[in-house]
Amino acid sequence: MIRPAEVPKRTFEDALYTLSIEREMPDAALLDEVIRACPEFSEELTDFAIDLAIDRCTNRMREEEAVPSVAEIENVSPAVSRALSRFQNCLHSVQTTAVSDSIIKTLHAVSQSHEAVNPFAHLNRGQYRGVAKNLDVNTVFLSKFRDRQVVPKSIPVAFQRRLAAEVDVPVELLIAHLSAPQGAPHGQLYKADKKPSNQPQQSFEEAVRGSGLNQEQQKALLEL
Amino acid sequence: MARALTKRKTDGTLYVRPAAIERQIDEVSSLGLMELRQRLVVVDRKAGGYLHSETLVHLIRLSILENRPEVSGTILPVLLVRCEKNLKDTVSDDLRDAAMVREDILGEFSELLALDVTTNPGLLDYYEVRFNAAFAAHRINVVRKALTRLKYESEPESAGLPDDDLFGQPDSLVKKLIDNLSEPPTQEWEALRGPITAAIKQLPREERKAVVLVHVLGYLQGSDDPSQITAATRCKCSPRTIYNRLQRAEIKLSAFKEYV
Repeated sequence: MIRPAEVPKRTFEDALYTLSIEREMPDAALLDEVIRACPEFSEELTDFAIDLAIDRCTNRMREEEAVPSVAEIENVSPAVSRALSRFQNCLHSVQTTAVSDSIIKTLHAVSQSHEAVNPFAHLNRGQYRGVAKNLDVNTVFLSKFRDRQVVPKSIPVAFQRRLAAEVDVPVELLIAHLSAPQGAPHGQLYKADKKPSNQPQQSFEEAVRGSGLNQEQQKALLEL
Repeated sequence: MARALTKRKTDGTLYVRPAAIERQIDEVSSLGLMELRQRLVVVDRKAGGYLHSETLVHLIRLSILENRPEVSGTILPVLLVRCEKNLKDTVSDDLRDAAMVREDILGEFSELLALDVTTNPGLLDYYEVRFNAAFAAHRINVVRKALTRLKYESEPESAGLPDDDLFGQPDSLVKKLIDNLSEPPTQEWEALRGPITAAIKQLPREERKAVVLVHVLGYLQGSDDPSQITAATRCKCSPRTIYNRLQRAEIKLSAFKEYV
């Protein structure tokens, strides 16, 4: 067994899978354990455990797999065809992106010491507002990503892609920026009298709900 | 032997594949594409040649790493058809836009496979340990997003009963219903599974949360010991509020009283 200090920090997704696969039915001990490893998601994990428990009551966990017939395998439905396309498109995008894993790591390391790789750093005020407008969000919400105030793993992949496209950087660079330690970039303009300080990170949902976005904007973002 | 998984359990030990899956991976890793195709059309789970979904995930991951698209292209349709069938059983038609939600689950799962090595590496380890349980976590997460989208319109409000009205009454019905769902004593109870779980899902969120935390997950309603985590801690409210939420749920589920 490894020492606790060597246990890597769990992501939100890790916690969800752990709750689902470690027990036939989640219980208080498991939920407490998972929340101890991911305290910032306490509420989300509790809600997920509730839904998981109800799901297990409804469907009764079946280790047996849903086995399709030969005909179903040979004549895939349109939904499966579209899922196959998503797989191919995604894989193609991963494999053709010039930014390799090692480069991501380099960018990640660089981002800790130089503000130049902050993907928002090259935007002037007008462009910054333009990005917010194109994403149909306000600048308060957008700033939370610029300032790394959002827990990276809670950000939907679809939003990461849209944001990367709007600021015109590879999605890997954006992810590296979001995952780097917090620290407000230089060269940005602030209205505050004092120099901005680091804020506790929020989940994507908290950021959506706490940025003064209207109901329609919130709904659109939470659907992602 | 298949490469070791990298994800760890809550106690810090590494997850390992079930022995049967390890054996099957060893057995099929040397198969040619033609033999693999023959194995993929075995649909009788009890037949010797049937390939488990955990094995299929492993083979797909390996084929992506080794840049062998012909292998992933052969296996993935079969895995997705299995998932689609699973979703027909587990995502109720009562859910608004059920077909779209099923498609989202399927699509996001296929992207998860494609992004295996780039985002949160090792996430697919869970699918090599217990595929159905891991897929259930993914499914529930996507359904939850869909419900978040709809909750502005459909979440029932908690009945406006004052807390004190209910305090001190017994709360045995809900517990008995849940116990009988976990271990159905008769076939009649198996038939009641759908209506009872549907009624629990219909409860207002806070009442549903109290019912599951106390009666399914096994939390105490509250405790005099402030260091003890209870349903009240998890809901950030007082034990009395939890008690009253349970009582309200009890009243709403009283239609099932005759079966207890």
